[in-house]
Amino acid sequence: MKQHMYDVKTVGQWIQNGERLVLAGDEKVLNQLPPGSWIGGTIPYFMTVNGGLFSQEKIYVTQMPDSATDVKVKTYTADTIDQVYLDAPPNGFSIIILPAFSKVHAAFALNSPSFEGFATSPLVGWISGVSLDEVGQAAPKTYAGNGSSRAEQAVVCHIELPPTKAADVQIINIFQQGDGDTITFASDGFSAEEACVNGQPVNFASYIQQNGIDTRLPLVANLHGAMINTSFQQVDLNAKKVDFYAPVFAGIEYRVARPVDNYVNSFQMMVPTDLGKTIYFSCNCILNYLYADLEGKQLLGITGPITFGEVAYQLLNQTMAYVVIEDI
Amino acid sequence: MQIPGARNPLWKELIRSESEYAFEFLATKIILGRLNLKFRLNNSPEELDRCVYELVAFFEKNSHVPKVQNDLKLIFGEGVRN
Repeated sequence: MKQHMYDVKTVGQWIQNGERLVLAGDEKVLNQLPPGSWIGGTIPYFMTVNGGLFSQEKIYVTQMPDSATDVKVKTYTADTIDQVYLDAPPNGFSIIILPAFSKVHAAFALNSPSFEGFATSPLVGWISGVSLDEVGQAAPKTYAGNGSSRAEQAVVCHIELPPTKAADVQIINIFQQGDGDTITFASDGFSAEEACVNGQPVNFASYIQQNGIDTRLPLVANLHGAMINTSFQQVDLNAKKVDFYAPVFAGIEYRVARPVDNYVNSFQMMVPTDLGKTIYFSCNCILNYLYADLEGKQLLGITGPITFGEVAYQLLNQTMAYVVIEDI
Repeated sequence: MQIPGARNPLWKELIRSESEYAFEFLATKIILGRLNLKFRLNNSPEELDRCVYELVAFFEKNSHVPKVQNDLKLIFGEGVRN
């Protein structure tokens, strides 16, 4: 299976040969590809077998699994993304790419847990982005194989598997809930002014400042042992509000994550050394790349795009999401 | 795999209380966490029925997955057979 970094000419030839591909790369190279059976998203950060890499020339390629019995590509807007689970095949999985900062990104992030059929079919994917130097100047994009990019549409590849195979979406999150305060919010959203800390209402921005909280550590919710992160984007003391990279949800109990000394060591302690050989597709978070300084550092040979958000059924932050195709 | 029907009282118990089963399948953890929250925010009998319906539908759709079968055995015991 083709799964790694290639130049635009090689990828273009595969597309012209009829290969079905999932691609991640900078907009400049994805725009050069011919129409064909591929989906993609913009991002110039990658985890490679040689370590974290910034490249605006190479494309990360994932070939559709040989075992796929059917592949359907669909695009979704903010008004139609609620259909994503209903469109999934009876047995198989779906790969989703959503453009960062778009309405469909926000709609998915805020509402996916309420979508009809939520989590009934494996959904894995990522939020497309741009070079950090270009944030605010260039819009992240997705591609649905016809050569034109989209800044306001999610693209999804629904992949059907035979009855002898099953897809298993999993996450690796080195962060655990810390021992500190329990934090809740009164409403869902990408930002919050007020929070309840151990049941007491506070201005959340002031609370962060007064308690010296390291905002490189995410808020962590524990859903039956699944640690779900929400990362801090900024603490605005003037506006007295806190912005997040994923929504917080009303009623969920969060705690600030326990500090991690060394991301790479912690990752290696959590992950079986041969995991990379079994993964079909994975992605990891740009915040892990930045905060853990992953450029040039490898993670047990596990590869994939480094993204502006990860999807394992719902939007996640500071997490590696991956899918394994198993024999059953 | 035979999934216990929606009238089995253990489904309601799962929705009402935040049990501490060590589930294997990520989606089991996420969907049950969401349904626990949903019921906490609206603990009406109608909402409980809706949550049970959603949970049973999830297990029925994924009952061919080995990890889901293991999760069902954690809840209902070995009486749940392949």
